Amino acid sequence: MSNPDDTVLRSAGAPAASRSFIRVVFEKYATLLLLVLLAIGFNFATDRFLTTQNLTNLLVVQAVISCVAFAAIIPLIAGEFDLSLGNMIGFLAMLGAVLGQAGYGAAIVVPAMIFAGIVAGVINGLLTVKFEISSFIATLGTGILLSGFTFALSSGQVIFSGVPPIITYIGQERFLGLGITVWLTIIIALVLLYFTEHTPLGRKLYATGGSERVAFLAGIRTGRLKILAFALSGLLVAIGAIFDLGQSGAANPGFGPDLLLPAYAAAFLGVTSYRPGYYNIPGTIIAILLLAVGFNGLNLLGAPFWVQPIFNGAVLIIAVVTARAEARHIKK
Amino acid sequence: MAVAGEKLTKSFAGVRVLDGVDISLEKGEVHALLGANGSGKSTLVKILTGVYQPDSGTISVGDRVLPAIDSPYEAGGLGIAVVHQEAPLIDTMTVAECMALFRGYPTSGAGRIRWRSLHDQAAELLGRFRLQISPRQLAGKLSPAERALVALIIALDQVKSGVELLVLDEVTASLPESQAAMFLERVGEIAKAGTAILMVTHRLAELHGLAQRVTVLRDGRVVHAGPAGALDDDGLVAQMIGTKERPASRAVQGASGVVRQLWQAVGARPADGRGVQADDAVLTVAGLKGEALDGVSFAVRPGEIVGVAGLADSGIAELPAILGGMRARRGGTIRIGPRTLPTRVEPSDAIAAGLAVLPADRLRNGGIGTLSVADNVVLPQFDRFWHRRGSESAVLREVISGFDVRPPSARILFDKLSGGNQQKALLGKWLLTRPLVLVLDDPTSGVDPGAREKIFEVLRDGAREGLGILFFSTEPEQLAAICGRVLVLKDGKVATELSGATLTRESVSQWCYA
Repeated sequence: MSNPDDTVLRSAGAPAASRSFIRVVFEKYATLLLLVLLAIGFNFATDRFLTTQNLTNLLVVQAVISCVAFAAIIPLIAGEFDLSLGNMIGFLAMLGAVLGQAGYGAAIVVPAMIFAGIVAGVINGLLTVKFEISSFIATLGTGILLSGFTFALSSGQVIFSGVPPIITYIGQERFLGLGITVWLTIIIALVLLYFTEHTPLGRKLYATGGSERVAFLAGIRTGRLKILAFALSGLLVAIGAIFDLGQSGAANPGFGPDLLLPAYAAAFLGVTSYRPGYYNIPGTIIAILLLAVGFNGLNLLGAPFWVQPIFNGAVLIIAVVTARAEARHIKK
Repeated sequence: MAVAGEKLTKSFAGVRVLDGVDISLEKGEVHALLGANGSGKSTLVKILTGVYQPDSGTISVGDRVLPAIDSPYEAGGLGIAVVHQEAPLIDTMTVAECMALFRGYPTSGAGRIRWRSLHDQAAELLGRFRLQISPRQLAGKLSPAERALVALIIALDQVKSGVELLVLDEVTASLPESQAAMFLERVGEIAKAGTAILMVTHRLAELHGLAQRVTVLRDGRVVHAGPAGALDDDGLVAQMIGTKERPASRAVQGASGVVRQLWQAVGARPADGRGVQADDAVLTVAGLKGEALDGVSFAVRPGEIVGVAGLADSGIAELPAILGGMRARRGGTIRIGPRTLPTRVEPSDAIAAGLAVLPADRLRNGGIGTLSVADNVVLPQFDRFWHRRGSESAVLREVISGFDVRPPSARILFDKLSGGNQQKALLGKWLLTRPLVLVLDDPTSGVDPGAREKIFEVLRDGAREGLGILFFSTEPEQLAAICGRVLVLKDGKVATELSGATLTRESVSQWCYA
């Protein structure tokens, strides 16, 4: 009831300030700390790590995976899974490539990809909300369906001609030293950060994920909100697909599914930082960078190819376990 | 004597819930345990079944005298079986398998389940109690009485060596009356076969011709113990609720003005923009029908606190859900202020029209434990406070200081608040929606007395500001303490309306139980 600790907590003054700063770093930014330590370590281990060339390349590769991770997060915040993301990005990239090959310009290709992404998202949402299928199953189904469409569109062939020049320009040119896709990803991240944390819609998403029932009783139209979340997810996947199409200048029918697990790994790892316990954009970006730096550094050091998944899996498990232990510690 | 408790005492967090309770249960008798909510009956049942251990006193089972029963498992070993209100059945499994979960699967040497003998065993058990149920029937397809009976068989089967005592913990509370009668008939037969039965119930009518003795608990003490015929139903109710003074709360007319300040902080009052005429009823319900409700009509005027009482099967659970747009109605009209609600509504419509419901079952419906107090309080109003963080924190300050939410911080997780403080925050959440009428469904359950007084104070204050309040409670004492009049629901209809001199907690109880 009345809590004497409360006054104690609030009167914790200046002497404890530095200690509490360290605590905050450990509680909210342990992953960031690990990222910095890794970067310093790799810098000492190899002089090829901290070069402009290496770092800008490293970032460009993250643009697509970031979009897919953001696409994973929005439904996750509302308490739903979207497992179709991987196949969806493959499908949308292929759709763009096929349209390009057929002679359509960016003015058709880009809107078509975005529209298809949103439609796919809305279908996921409708299956989950209106037909009350678990999103896990519904999106698994739509994902498999989309992979079929991808092969049907391409006849199983890689398509590497006809990608509209504007799209390849976005994918391959640089602005102020960084790839255009990196800049665009930063803008998307800022917009999403604002959306999730500072708009009523974002707060409603978190409330729906926290307890759909309570949110519904409070007058929030949770059904519509979830459909919107899936639609937004589809939009983000479409943007990722445009980036990929531009970066590679081609569409491979096997592309996509490999992105699903890394995207979710980043989303879950992101829960450990910035706003611990909640899916959040900054935490996810830190997680993506951590995994990317680990990959890159290990590569430069000549680690064999199988070290990569071991590193990623270990980081995810250790981070989530320590975050839980930390959370339990705070509760007591 | 089969089982007896002597001088049983138990306290929780310094509050004594059982105070020197004696009870003895003879072989072959049905013994009724009665008491209002909070009288200590469930604590006593939990002590006899090994869930809780008494602080002092002894329990004797047969000729063994024990200081405590350490676990439900040990209780089973001593020959004490218990059936709870909720049958331990898995709807998607067959009756035989549900039983096997407790008694174990018969297996062959290779570990394969021997299905035939599983079904034979189940059929044998069901036959022993003359139940016409196939072992292959899915548990989900059983009637309520059948569910209760299967639960009873499972409970008795758990006890390997002769049943000393069978405890029925409000087993019939959720059964329709005819189904309950079927169930109780079998219970009577089990008693005749020589088992002691302790029956906890709210329905006095069930006891007639079944119970031989009655024990009534009130405030953790035995206030009446004797043969079943010694007191009539009115007498038993009088014992259950006692005749002590009303809580002091009625005298304390906290003139705090917190609700007015709250609406000032919001920047609008409930009537603003809703086209309300000064003296209109804020809620008019006519001929309302649902699953259990069968034509309920009443009105709530501004500034009124109207109570609603009734037993579980009276439709009392359905009414708030229908009013709040959480459940569809089958007929009738609902008018909030000047607006008639359309037939199909969602909670958002009811809130917009000016009706807020503080739902029962705070754990599931109340707040979002993983979000902050601030998010929980502002939840229905996210749009209103966009880009108005200053106004939002002013409102939060008003709720936290005005309603005395502790610890006084809006940033702490909702889960970390005690039940009473959660409820105060939730009351703030719903008052923030500027309702014309506030519906409270059992708002004080699991709420400590201090918080309860604060909640009452806020409600009275709201009523003075013209808020109409509809107060559902299972505790007649509270209804009598805070309401101007009380509607008693029975069989889906308003059986009577009590007010003025006829409104006492005795009269409310009598109307409910009679």
